[in-house]
Amino acid sequence: MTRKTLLRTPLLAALLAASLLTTQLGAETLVLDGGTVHPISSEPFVVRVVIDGGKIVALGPQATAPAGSRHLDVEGLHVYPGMFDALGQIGMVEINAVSATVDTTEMGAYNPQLHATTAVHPASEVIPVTRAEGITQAVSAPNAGNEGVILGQAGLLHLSGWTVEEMAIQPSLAMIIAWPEIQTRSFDFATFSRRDVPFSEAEEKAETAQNELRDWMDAARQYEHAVAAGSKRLERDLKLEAMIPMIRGEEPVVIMANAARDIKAAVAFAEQYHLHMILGGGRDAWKVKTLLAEKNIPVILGSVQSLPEEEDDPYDRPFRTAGELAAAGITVAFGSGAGGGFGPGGPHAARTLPLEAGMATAYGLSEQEALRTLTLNPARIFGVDGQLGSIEVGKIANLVVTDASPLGIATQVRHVIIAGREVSTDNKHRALYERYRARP
Amino acid sequence: MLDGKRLVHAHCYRADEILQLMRLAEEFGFKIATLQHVLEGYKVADEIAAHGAGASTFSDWWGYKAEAYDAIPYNAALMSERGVVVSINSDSDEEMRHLNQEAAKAIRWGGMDEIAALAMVTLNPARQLRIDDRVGSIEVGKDADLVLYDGPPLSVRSVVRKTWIDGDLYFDLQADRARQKTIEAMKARLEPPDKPEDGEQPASGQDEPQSEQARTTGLRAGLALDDALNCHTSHSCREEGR
Repeated sequence: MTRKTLLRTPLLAALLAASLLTTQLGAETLVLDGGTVHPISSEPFVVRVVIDGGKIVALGPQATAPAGSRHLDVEGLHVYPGMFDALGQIGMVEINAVSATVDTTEMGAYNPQLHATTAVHPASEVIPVTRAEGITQAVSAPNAGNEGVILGQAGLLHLSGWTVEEMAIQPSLAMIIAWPEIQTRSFDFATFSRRDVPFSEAEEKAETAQNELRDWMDAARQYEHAVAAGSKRLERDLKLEAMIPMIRGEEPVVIMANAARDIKAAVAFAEQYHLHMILGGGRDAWKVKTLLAEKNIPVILGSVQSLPEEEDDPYDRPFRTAGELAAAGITVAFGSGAGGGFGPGGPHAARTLPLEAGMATAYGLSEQEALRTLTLNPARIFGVDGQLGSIEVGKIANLVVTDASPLGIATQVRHVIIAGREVSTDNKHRALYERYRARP
Repeated sequence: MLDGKRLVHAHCYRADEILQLMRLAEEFGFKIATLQHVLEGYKVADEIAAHGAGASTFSDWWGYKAEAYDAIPYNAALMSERGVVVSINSDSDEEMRHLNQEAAKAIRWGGMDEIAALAMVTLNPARQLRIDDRVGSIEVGKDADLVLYDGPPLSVRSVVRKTWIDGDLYFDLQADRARQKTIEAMKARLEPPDKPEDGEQPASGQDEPQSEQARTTGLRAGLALDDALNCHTSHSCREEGR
């Protein structure tokens, strides 16, 4: 990805200095005392989480606090696993309409070698704004742009760190494919009007792109065979090499698709190549939930708060989708960049993912499952549940301390712990609020 | 407008342009009734209050363009504290569906009390539009524009059960659910379930125009049904004598 100029202001520098100072406290032995702990993987209990070397080392009323440990009094508060933005562009977008601050898309349709995290700006204002609401890790992924098909690899990042290397939990987490959809409607920004193309034309265009994708997959498969066979005459191809873990089913692939017909086609494609598929977007996933459940394909949904697609859909169709998928046995998560919609949203709106999951609880998603969509589900979907997603001994200490359920609007986040260290919840918005509130 | 007979609602983002507009209006002897969006209103809240303008803002959108880079979710609360009459707008046909939740965000960001937050989507916009003698609160003599929630209106978990406008029931969740069941049944008849998957190929293109056709037919049938059912719940059919 091309390196673009990012905004630098004195305020940003001041904030950075303030927030990173706290991040730099170093690995500490930290004991959380007195609150209600919600492990997600098991029933809540009262008192004591012991953190050392970045990990959770002991839990429960009998856990002993090592000498010299710092006690954090969380009496009357609630401790939850830090939440995920399961698919988005945090750190890659500063101001959507200022293209020099947007670095989400690469030239060309096939970039499997690309690591999105190389474009992440650790000083982005979006990062502290998001973590202040209890989101402690994010999957940063490339975007499709106009022509992208194999977009590259998404990485999992702590929302704290001086450099992207410090932030990285797993720099190469999953491959991202934008399924070439049959699009009969497109929006032309030049004339600000909708353009309709005949179905046959749209279908032909999609099929051409899908065939090209299959050519790439076949080439990668052959390349993988040649590598496995130890061929000495093989000319190294970095793009095909980057596809090997996906071809072997070792690395999951998020396939972005929304319409039912495209989801079905993407599932057939994943079957053909024995891929470990995750569905991203999934606007119509409710229509094909039997298929998704049967194939054990998890879904990363975009916004709960969106409009019904069809004129005769119920008004609350998108509100219900998460609940219906969960009831069908599908593992659901939410991503700020999974909706791909028009208008404000994306990484700047990642902070309200917990509230959107909260809204889904009024439309069929249980409260327990809603909490899982933000914690254990994304960890399982990406195969990092050994490290994250619940409060268990041995896991990375990414935690959030709140005064009530993270799903509620009025809830206040009191402490955020990332990789075993308490990090600052200061951010650009709070700084501006405090500055102008103090105006004489 | 110059005579003060036509209210001015002005679109704006940044503090400098807000100030500029208010000073221009003052020079010509009129007032801005309401500043719309007004994302940096918190920076000039005292000036807005002194001018006497209202402020109608988004709850938490930011960063989508340069002039929205200093937008903060505390804007509504901060302007209210400084004496500005504040409302929350959506600027979106989706967000307008949950303005109650958008108002509640001023509790999370800025510690606004619940009644004041609710006023930002009821009485305050009525005041800004100078129609608070007719709508915006539940008082004898006002229009019967009411909503029945199944829980606290500022909660993410609360769902609208019924909505009345001018005393007529326009939305009834139970009736809507029943109507949806009927539409689903009709669609199932018109659009038979998928054939078994062959597991390899996407749906053949030849089938698509047919299913599109079926969908359109189903849609028309659904809309006809919509009209028929509305006649039992809404006043519009009665008025039109249907």
